[in-house]
Amino acid sequence: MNIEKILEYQALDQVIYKAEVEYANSDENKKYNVLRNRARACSEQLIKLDHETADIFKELDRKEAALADFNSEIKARPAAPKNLEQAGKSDDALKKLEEGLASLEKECNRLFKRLEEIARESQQYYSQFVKLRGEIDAANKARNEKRKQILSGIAEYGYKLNELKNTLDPADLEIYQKVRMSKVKLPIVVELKDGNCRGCGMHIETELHGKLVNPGDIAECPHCRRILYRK
Amino acid sequence: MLKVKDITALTERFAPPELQEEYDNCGLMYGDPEAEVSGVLVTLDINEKVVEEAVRKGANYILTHHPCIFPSVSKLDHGLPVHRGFAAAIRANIAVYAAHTSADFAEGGLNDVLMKILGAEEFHCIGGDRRAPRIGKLAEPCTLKKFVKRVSEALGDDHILYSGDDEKLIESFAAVNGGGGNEECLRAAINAGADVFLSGDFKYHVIRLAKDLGYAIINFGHFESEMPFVEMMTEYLKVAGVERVFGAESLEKPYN
Repeated sequence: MNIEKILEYQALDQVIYKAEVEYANSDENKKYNVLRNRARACSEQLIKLDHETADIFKELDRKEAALADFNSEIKARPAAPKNLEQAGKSDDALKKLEEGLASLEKECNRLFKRLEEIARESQQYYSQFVKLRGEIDAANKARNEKRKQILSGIAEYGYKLNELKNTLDPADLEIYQKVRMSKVKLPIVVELKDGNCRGCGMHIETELHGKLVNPGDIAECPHCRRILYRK
Repeated sequence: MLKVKDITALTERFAPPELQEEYDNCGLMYGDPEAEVSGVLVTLDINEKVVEEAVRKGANYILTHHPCIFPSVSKLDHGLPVHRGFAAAIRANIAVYAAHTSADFAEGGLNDVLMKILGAEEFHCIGGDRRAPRIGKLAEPCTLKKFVKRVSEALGDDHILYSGDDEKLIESFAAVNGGGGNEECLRAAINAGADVFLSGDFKYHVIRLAKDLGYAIINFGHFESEMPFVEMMTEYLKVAGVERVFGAESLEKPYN
């Protein structure tokens, strides 16, 4: 790796990185993210309620089938008992049917009540969601303004960075960008000094030192994944 | 992971199918409601290019504004690009949902979005009917000529046609997205007191009528006035927590 060139690139990139951090930590961006999370939570609740509704409808289908069974049983009963024994049995069977029907009715009423509750809850969550969408729109405009404001202060660095990018070895740039994308804090290319990584300060095993013999040699810090070089 | 039925339910909460016009065919046109959704591609129309884009982006749910088939269709015609696109989606096992007039008339839907884009400070549906044109006041009144320029810039439409006195002061306007350039909407706009009526796909007799009445109309592109559908639905689904939502990039303008 051309260390000198990549360090030059990194120096400019650090200005951009600082701006990115400033934007990420800005009140405008934080507010936007909070609102987005709230909207997402509302949406998750709505989806949950949709699933519950579908389950209730399936349950009601089963209840309907149970009701049809009861009806068949009622229709299948003999018109009139022929003796006392049959009358007793018929009475028991009727009581059982009555209890079954009462329990079915109770269960159906419970499901209908829950459906009404779900409709109300869904309405509330959706109203909240719609309100949040409006707030998110406004928050997004505000954070875009903030972004513009931050970017305008570093525009020249952006141009310079792009110019410099064209002079770098694409392979070097690829290694650098890979680490940059992996959320490692800048600086990414750091010196191995006194046996320590200058990025995270951790001690580097001596066997890795052997990889850094010639100018341009690099190694990955096993602790923080930064790119190590030696002066 | 969200399922086809979840994306459909989220869409229908925003654009309830019961709002659609009688002739329309909003709803899930193809797809297993229980299938998991790997990504959503939002588009104005379906054709083979759009389906290819969905495949490339790993999206197995296409949310289109214009339906690929209408109730009157009894077969898929290989000669029709839209039908070929639909068939390609079916082959690739991509669910297809159409939110057409349901999204036009929805609260915060395409007509409402269009009014904001065109610069309405406040607006409402004529006669309180969501299916009627919207009427609104301009934040900054201007001449018809200037307003036409503003509309052109706001929609990115270089082919706007208009009729009326260039110097007419426009304080209020009525509009319908897409192909609402019919006599019924024109008369609704006139009766509601709008200074100008905007829509797309005006027929000659409607333009003639406006001209002879001395009433101003602006004919914008159907495509340009409905492209905001892509951003509107993409943003809506993103805010609702759908992870991978893309606006279609492969759909070209129909005019040069």
